[in-house]
Amino acid sequence: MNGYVTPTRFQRVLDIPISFAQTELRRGKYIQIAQIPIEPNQQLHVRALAIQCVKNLTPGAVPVYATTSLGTVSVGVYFGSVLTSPLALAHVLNLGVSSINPFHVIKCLSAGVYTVVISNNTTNMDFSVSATGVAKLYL
Amino acid sequence: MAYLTESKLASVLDLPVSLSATELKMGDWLLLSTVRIVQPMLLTVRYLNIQLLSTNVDVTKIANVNKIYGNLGLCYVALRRDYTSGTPGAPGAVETLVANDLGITARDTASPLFVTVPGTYSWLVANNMKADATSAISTSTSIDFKLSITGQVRLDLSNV
Repeated sequence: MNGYVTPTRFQRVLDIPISFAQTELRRGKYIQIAQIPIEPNQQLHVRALAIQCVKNLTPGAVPVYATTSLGTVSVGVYFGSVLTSPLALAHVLNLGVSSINPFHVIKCLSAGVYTVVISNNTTNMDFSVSATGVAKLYL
Repeated sequence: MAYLTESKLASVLDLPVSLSATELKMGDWLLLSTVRIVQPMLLTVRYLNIQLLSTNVDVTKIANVNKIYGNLGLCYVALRRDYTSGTPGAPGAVETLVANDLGITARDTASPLFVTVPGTYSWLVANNMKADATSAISTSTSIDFKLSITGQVRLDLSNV
């Protein structure tokens, strides 16, 4: 992986955007913000994924978590439909920003459909959230 | 100029700054994107545009007194460092892209902004309008804009 990149090679490396502008996310809800199908011999590398919890729309409430490890709100890359099994996850416990470690590359090699899902993991609070990221697809 | 290697290509990420057509109410703002930078990363901001699609009032009737910040046009996109809350037009923004009329307003691609200072950088779009009794627009009218934003920033993870 240290050779020079030819124009032919360069054309087959794509940055797939993961973009979710500030949106109200109600208690217990989740939204799929991207889907990336991978075929055999293709690779997907995820190095940048961030979530910002901008506003608590239910101030004063004490969060009741559906799944504690996912924090109050989270964004993750999934292979399958189980919210508790992300391949990469950025989550916040309160207002603020959280991101995955860009120096630890999440490499997806198995063929299938990878999805990016943002979710509110509480049963009693609403939040205003935004997410940003990119997935590098090697065709 | 050196050739591009596989490892260099893998460490350069193009991140989106975008918003599909959305109605932004008078004085309101939305957070679009967030990027966290640590050493030795380099963030290059080059491409960004706003399209003001429509407004519910006659734009020619909008006066300077209707602007929250006189220098920030009808609406603007602000890049702020370590943003947590508050109006994005407040002093201290890293840069702003100001839309003064309907149509497309684009950032100058020949003048990239290079950012290496560690921090969390956020792009916010804001409606710069407010009601004013001396304006030709009634104070009971909310000056709203429908707008769309497209942009891209380049994050080089190993700027060495």
